[in-house]
Amino acid sequence: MTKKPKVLLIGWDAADWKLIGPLLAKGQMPSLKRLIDTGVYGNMSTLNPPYSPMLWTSVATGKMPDKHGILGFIEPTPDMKSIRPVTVSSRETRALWNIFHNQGLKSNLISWWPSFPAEPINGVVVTDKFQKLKKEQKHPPPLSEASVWPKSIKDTLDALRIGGSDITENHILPFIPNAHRIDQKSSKFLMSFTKILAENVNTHAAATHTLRTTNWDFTAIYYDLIDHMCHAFMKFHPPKLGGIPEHLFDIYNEVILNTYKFQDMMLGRTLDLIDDDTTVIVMSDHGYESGHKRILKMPKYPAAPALEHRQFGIFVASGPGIKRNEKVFGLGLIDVTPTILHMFNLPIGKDMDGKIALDIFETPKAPDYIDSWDLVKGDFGEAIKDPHNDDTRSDSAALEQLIALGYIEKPDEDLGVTVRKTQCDIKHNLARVYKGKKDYAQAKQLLLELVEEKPPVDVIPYYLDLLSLSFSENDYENAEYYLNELKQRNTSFEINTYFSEAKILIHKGQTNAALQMLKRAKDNSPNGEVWFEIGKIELQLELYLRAQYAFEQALSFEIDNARYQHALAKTFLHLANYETAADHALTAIELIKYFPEAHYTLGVALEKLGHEEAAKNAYEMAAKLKPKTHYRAEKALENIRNLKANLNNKYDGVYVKNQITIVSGLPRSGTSLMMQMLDKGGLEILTDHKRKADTSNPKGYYEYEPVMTIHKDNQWLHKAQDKGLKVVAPLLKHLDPKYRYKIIFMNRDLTEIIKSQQTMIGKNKDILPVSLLEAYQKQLTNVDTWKANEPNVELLYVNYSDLFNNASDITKHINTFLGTSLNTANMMATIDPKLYRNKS
Amino acid sequence: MPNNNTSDKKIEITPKGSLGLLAYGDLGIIAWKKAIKNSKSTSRNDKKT
Repeated sequence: MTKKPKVLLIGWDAADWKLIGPLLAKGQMPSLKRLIDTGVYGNMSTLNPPYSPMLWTSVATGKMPDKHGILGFIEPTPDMKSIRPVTVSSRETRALWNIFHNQGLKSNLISWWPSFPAEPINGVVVTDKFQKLKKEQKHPPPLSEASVWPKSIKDTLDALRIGGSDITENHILPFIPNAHRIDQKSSKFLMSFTKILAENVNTHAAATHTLRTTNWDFTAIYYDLIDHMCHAFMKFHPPKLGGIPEHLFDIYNEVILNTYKFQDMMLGRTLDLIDDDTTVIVMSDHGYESGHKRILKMPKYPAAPALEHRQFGIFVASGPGIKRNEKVFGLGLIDVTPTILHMFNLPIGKDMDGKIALDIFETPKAPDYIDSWDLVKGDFGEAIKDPHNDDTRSDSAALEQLIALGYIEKPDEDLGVTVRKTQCDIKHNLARVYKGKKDYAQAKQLLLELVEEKPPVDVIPYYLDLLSLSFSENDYENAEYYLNELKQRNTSFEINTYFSEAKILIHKGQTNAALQMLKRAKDNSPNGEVWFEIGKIELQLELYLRAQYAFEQALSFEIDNARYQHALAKTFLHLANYETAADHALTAIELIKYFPEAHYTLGVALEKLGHEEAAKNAYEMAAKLKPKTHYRAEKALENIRNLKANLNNKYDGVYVKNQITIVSGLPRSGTSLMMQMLDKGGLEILTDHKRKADTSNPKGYYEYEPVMTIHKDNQWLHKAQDKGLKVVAPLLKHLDPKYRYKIIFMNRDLTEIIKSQQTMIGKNKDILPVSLLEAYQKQLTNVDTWKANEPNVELLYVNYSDLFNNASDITKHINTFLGTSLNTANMMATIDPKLYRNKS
Repeated sequence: MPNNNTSDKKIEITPKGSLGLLAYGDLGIIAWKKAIKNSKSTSRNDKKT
């Protein structure tokens, strides 16, 4: 008989593998280690903005914040006269425990953020208000009626609570061995410490009591211990930051690691209270910066401390049917609810944004779906929303804590202003959620409304998001406008402005100016992101060794940044160092599985190394993750399939449907002549004849004006299908990977080319500019490198001089290469030897 | 915090001791509160005697 499923979900706000890894290795987190050894582990990707009440509600609903309605730390009171910490009243969808209630299952919910006021579910609810303490008070504040459910357990649980003053020397010294050196008159750190510790001990006591004394199917416990200790003490964590005084570092530098050890100790006790048939999930909602990116001076805007939240939290799951000691990839917060519903054999709402993490199961089952749990009629144990319920009104302990953490501003004396600012914050957070979902239109609409706000509402954050939104949409005109608006508001942005200005300069074609600007920014304040941006430009400028150095510098700041790893992989492809490219692409994938470009880069590297089957898998994954739009991956897959059937000559002799024939080369290498030959041979040409024939090209240029701006817009390329088009060598890299190209690349002696160019512009053709010669040589090398990494490109080199010496063979070759039957006699007839001037 | 020098009194994060009681959850808190109560009543009785 199959046993009834039982799931324990434990949330450790802000837990980060970066700190856990070394502790596991030293055996200092034995309980978590036990779960990892018997289960799966991996990164948990956060959402934007990374604000905990929004995130934990996404965990509990499987939905993005625009659907679940929790949009910040605080909310206006129902009478709109004040504010309060966010409550369940704002949640607009059912959570896991509501669904379980409806299905006759028993849930315990401990300190979930937000869970106040307690919902009357089948089970026990200890809300996020239960553990909260006030700094100055010796004892816990009285418990309100709505703090726990059922009300009958209120007194029992209340008796378990302790206050900050109950924490003694014996509790403090293991965390802060030099606590005797603290001058408590001038420092409030110890008071913060005892408060955070006591609050989490309260949560833990309620959790263990509930686990011991109730029958349950699902229990969820949330601890804010790590997050709150990080906000207070991460600045003292080694390595010592420049701005931290030595004596404070000596006192507090062990707090963070000891916090993790204590969290693990609490986990150990929790695991003792469950049976072997319980599935345990330990997870965090985001990570926390512990290295160079720690911020000592927080910008002054609401929720700025969340800037130290890292993209990846942790995920560990162990229990019946879960794989053992295996790393899993690509998990997101919204996947938790679908996965847990699946464990209970319950259907997933089609309106949920998350998916079942099938990879964690030894034998995945087929999922069931319903349209929406919100549409199901019946009892879901939901609270009746009562705007007059005093219990949900202002909560000074929780508000005080949010202010202390820097998550919200101290309320204005004029509460009307505070309410207005809160409404703006909520709207802003919603805009950021839309932006994260790539729903740019909705995000922009909200942000444009917000920038109309008048002081004291600060509109700078809204302009910053409009700026970043414009970049996401490639709308550089508006980006420049928003940047100027920001500058006019006389704020110091430093590094952020550098990035934006550099992007705008690149768009204007002023790449070197952009590079210089970023280098200045790097000299002022070196960090991973600025090196990354420098590397990107150098990669674009085809300065591969410099790009390699820049990306390596970026990684020295943040080794587990998937974007940096992938950029380095791409650079190594260009340097033909395929093994190292594969290594870095794999590392990027390990960090983020849902990274189609990294899978594609891995495929290219593997293909070059001759591992065709493995390359095919990588391309398939890239195409699967970006269906119908990852053209390079699709083309690469086609190539592998075709190569198997036709190993030696790929597409020679084959006319590929809709192929675009490109004639390319350096200026004055014979491209116009080749265009004319194709034209006369019978190939339709895409040209606008705007550039008239002259003495340098007496038979015409065969150009098409949009080619000149192809770096900005290549959407017109579909017009060139089944036609011939002239594109000079430096612009080839802007061809849209959506199409297949056959490129006839004209080679001509570089000295001849330069002489011909000098003549054309009226300069002395006998003076050879060496720098130009070198630049052209480099361009030709870059064409080779570029072609090697483009699966949709075939390239035939044609020597200009051969056209005059061996036209018959050349025209035949061209027909074979293109898979066409152009009229070779007509093609040859266009070759006029008198036009072969400036011979070397 | 008393201002005596306790640096030689290195206490580790371990399930034993006072911190262990906190990590033990509800039963640890109950035991700890009981111990405090007893020690207070003992000290009161001591004073009486």
